[in-house]
Amino acid sequence: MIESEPRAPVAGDIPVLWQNGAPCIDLRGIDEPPRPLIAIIELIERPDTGDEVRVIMDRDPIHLYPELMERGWSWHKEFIGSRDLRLTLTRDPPGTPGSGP
Amino acid sequence: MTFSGTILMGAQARLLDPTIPYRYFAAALGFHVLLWGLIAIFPGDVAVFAGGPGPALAALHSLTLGVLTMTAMGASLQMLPVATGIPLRSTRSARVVSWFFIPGTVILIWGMAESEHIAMALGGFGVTIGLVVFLVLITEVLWRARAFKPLARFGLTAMSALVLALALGLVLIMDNDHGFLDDRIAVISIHVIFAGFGFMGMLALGFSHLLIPLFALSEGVPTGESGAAFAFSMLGLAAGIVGIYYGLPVLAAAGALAGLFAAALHVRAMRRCLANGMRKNLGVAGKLMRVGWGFLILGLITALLTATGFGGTHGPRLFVFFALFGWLLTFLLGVLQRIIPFLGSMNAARAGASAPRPSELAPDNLLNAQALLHALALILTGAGIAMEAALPVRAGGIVGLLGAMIYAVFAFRVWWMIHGRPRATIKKERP
Repeated sequence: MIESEPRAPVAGDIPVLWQNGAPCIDLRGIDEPPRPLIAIIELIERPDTGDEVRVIMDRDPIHLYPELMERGWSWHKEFIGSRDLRLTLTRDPPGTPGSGP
Repeated sequence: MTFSGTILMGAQARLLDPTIPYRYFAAALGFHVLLWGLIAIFPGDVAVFAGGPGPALAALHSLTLGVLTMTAMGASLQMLPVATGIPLRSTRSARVVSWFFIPGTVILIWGMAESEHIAMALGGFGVTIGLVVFLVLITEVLWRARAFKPLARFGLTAMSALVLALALGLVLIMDNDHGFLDDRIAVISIHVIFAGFGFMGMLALGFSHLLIPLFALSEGVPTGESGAAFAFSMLGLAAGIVGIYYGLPVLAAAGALAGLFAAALHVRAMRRCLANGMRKNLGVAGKLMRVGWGFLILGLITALLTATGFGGTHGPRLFVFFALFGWLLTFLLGVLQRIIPFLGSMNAARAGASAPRPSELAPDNLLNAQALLHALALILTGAGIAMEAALPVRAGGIVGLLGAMIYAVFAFRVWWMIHGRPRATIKKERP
């Protein structure tokens, strides 16, 4: 369920919605590299983003994972429907081995 | 976690078995050592090189085929499918390329160094088979990725130029034994332009549209701006080749000038990506890329001076040195500094295993030392070529060899940290 509480868009004009207490972006259909990557990184680096971010995509964002590791975030993949992927990104607690500075 | 469906399959197909890109990168690092080693051992040949078989030609092809093309293969086979979402038609073919291309390059370079025609022909055959398979694989991905206009138009042009450079290379090998060419120097010059600027240059410009925004986390180059750089590149390439072939200095100079416009537009766009990106500092890699762009401009100015009769007798040699060593090699070393750790982390992340951060895989001291040695090697070797003096070339070769060995240590360290050492498992992907 997506609450329609809009936040400032990321990567130019990609809308950010608030879903069950966490920001959520839908990147399906956005193929132009590295725009999906920028959108996610921009969102997790915002000061008002909490410890969880949800992303819906239509491809596995392989480039994203090293960037998440660098910043101290973990991820969980879940397939929805036949082609789409829901990513739940979680900020690692401070002091977690391998987490970012 | 649900592991089924087309996305996972697609992802697996796009992120290759790491042994595929790594074999190309490992071979390139070996040829990088060989390249500087040959320069250090045969500085006299390099200082006065004007074409023809011998150690200098072997060193040149260690660079063009062994380092530049080899790295382009590893990077494009891995990065293009990941970035565009279009998988290779056959990952087995990506291995087949290496079976022919790597030994073919070794034999060809040995044949060139020893002036052995049979070895050159045999090596040329292996290189051709490898390049043709590579060309088919990558052309198909680029063709299907036409929506990514900047990448596709530069990339498809590069693949066309590769066909011509390869054909001319084979003609030159045959001519070396049979002597049927009327104007061998013109054919060599056109082969150099097609290979250096048409194939490697266009590929470097196209890949930059993908990689620089990815490294800097910035928006890409607007299509119109990229299109202008592409148009000037094509104009420069065509005018330069026609001018050289028909012995028309004005046309060759116009080609160099158009190339300068293209380079200026490209460098401006890339600098903007770096300045506006979320990652402002690309470290040593960013410095190497910038130095590479500087040499691109310097090389084209040298070409312009040479075409207009102000380049002196060293003009053509310095032009080739600035373009191949100064621009392409330096830029590529910068790009590889980012790709190797990034790829290592991606593969570790896919395996769900302990995954060091890319920054942990790229130690500053090692990379700074390599970059300094590379810069010094360029200065010494370039000065030696300009003065036709063996001593600075030898010194440049020795310094470059040290730098190449440090680069190989850096790459091996990354491989060891990802695949070699026993690790505590730190899963970043939550179950």
